[in-house]
Amino acid sequence: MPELINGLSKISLLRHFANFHGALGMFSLIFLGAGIVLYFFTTKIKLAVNWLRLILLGLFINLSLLDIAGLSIYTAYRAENGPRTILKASKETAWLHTIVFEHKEFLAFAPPVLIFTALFIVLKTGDSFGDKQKLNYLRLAVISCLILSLLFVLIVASEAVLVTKVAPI
Amino acid sequence: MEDKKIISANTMLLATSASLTFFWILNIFKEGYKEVQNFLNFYPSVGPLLGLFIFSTVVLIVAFVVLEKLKIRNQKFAFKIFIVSVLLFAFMVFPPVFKIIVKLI
Repeated sequence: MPELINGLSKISLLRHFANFHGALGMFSLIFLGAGIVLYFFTTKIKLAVNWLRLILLGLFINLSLLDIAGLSIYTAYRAENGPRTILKASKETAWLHTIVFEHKEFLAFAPPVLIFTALFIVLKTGDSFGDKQKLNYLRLAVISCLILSLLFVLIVASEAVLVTKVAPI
Repeated sequence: MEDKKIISANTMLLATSASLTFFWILNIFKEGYKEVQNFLNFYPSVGPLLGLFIFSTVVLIVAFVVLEKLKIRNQKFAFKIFIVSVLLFAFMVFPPVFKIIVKLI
């Protein structure tokens, strides 16, 4: 145990923050999974709409914090002699910044916006959200928001792993 | 009352579409024109990315306020626009794609 505490204390605060950023990404996957499962229960159980509302709120806060943390770490990535400089210095690794990292930073804008949209629809429609006939397309929009967000988060996370393996923060 | 809620939900779908579309268009202008890049770069440590995020969020709010006046009742129409916009966004923020347009402008 002292070895673990000693090891953890030697890791810089920035590295801890970067790890927290990664943890937020993983938490969002749990929320997204819960949201997708609950969506299919909303037509059968009324209480599922309340739970979906809570999960979407938690997910929106999670994804917003994830983006804020990402933008904060971005300062270290852009710093002089930081990972960006290291990647761009070699022709072999430059693509990791110009294609992979740039795509990651742009795509990250969508998940919080999509989940906010889903939350807004579920909040507005209230208990009638389970009405398949009346709200068919709005329900389709909510499940699309959840599935597309999951896809985007997975792409962004994979790209982050790809870049940080070559040039860690 | 129920109709009003559907109108609001449809409006949010269209506002999100407007925000995502604005994001990739502004990104192309940011890459193509130094002036746009400098304008978005109001916090140099983070760079123009922060400006891009903030302005696209502002567009989401403004679009919602403006579009709500149109009272869009058609769920199918709002959903179709929304799906096309999200897929287009995913495609247009991929550097090998948008850099072709940057070279053209």
